Amino acid sequence: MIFPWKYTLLSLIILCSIMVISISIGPVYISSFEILKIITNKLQIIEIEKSWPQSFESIILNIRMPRVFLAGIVGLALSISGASYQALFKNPLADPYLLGIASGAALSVTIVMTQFENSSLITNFIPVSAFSGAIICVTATYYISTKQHGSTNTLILSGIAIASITQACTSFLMLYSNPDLRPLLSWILGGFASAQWDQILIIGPYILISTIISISISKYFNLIQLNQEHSQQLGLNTQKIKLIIVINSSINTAAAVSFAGIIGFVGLICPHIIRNIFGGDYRNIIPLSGIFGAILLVLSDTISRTILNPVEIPVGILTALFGGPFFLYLLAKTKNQN
Amino acid sequence: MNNLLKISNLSFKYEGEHILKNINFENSTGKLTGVIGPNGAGKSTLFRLITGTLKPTNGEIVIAGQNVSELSIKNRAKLVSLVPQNPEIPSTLSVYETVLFGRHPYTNFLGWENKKDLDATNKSLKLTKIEHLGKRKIQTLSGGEKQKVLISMSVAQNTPITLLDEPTSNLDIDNQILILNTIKNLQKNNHSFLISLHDLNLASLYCDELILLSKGKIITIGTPKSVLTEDNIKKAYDTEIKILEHPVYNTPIITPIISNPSK
Repeated sequence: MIFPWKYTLLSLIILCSIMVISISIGPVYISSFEILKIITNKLQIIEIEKSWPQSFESIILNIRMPRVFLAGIVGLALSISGASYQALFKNPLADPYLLGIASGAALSVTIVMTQFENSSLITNFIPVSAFSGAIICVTATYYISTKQHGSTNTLILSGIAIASITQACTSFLMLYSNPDLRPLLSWILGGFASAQWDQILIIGPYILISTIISISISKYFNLIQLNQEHSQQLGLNTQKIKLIIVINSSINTAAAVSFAGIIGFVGLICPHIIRNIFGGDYRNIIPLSGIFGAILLVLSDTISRTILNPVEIPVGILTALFGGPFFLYLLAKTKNQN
Repeated sequence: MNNLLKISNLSFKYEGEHILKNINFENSTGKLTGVIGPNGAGKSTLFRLITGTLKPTNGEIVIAGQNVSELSIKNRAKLVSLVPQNPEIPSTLSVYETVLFGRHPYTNFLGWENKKDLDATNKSLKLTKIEHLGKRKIQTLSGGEKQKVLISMSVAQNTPITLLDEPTSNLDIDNQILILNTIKNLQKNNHSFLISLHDLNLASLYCDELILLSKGKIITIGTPKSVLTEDNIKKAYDTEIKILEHPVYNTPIITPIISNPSK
């Protein structure tokens, strides 16, 4: 098995179809055909006679498309970083949310936003601060768990402890922040309501580069599953590769958290389902769970903004609602295997 | 090629204590050499020094004319392969994907294999007679089959010498024979093996040469007949034994003497 081109292309087609359907759904229904016409017209690929109201263009291009695209790339990033942490820690329960990495990134962003609220460069600085929070938390979680012999459960428990502490700090900062700033901070709870193209342009390159790196080095994810001495004996510099994986996955998580807040369990569910269908080769798991993560989050976001219309549920609540029981199922399964 | 493996004045100290002291031996191509000795004799340390996982305190290890400690991790993996005693193989991988790991030293900087690597993997599956298991998941294999997969991985690594750390431990007699026969078959292709064994009778039956270690020192090196004597075993293991002769192969058989009056 080298690279799963066939399945990747097939799942990309499914993702694109779901994105178009998601864009069409909302208070105003716009047909998929009209969406394609509007996008084609905007991209000036071919000359199309304008047969739609101006408001449709605005709804699609400025509201729904950035939202669906942000959900897609955040789903991709969270799922790939979940799969990477699972490979790194040899633990099927690892997830950026459960390891406290996402919460650490969110705290870092909150600190920057509350302390430097008047700075014009703040938006560009958000992913960098999220990355520093992510790296500090993944190091802390790993350090605490190895002090306790690093078993499956201690890693997750350390992560949950770190997540609780950082989330408490985030809540405290929000409570004592400038009241005008609070609506801006609400996205940290997880959601795409305030999605904009600018945000995609800022985090897109980080996620793109990080995803390319993850796919390129996915063979090493397989090799580090062997014990360290054995993988070194096969010619792998394990320390170097683990450092690359931790930095790369933390960049991916941080980019995802920067404008979408804390959305849990995507990084847990997607790699697990892909692993069950396609086996344990990370050259399949990384690209396919990334696309599956994008599909899952676009679908979840569509449901969260339409199911209780006109009220919108933060997407993080929806993923937790499905992800929580899934996590318990995995926990029981891991315990049985042990 | 003679003197495939040459170890000179090798010593290793851990926390001030000698784990191995002044080890010297040479091993030529196509030999199956057994490393025997009681627990804590230094067998695993010797293997870790040869694979380059540990750095010697003194002395040097030369494989095919190259000093192991001066080589990069990838070049070292082209010279010596290891079948570890307690491997961790991802249970959801297929046998083929696992054996393919052996090609890692020859892959590009991203670790992706080319057709040559896939061919070499198919060849090693064939040589170890596990082609029919190629698509099976590791979690569905028996202990003996898993051990053959590991040996196949080391064959795919295509090194002049392979180290096998207790490959028959935790296996039933039929699987022990199966594994050692597989190794013996591979030896016919001029492949060299250094194997650590606890079972002295199996070592006597299969190895061309034995190295008897005790307390970090070599007691003696030679053919099974010259190494497995009552005196040498007493010296290394501090245990009374009697030597018999194998009725078919004329190799020494170790029988323990137990100080139990009721027997």
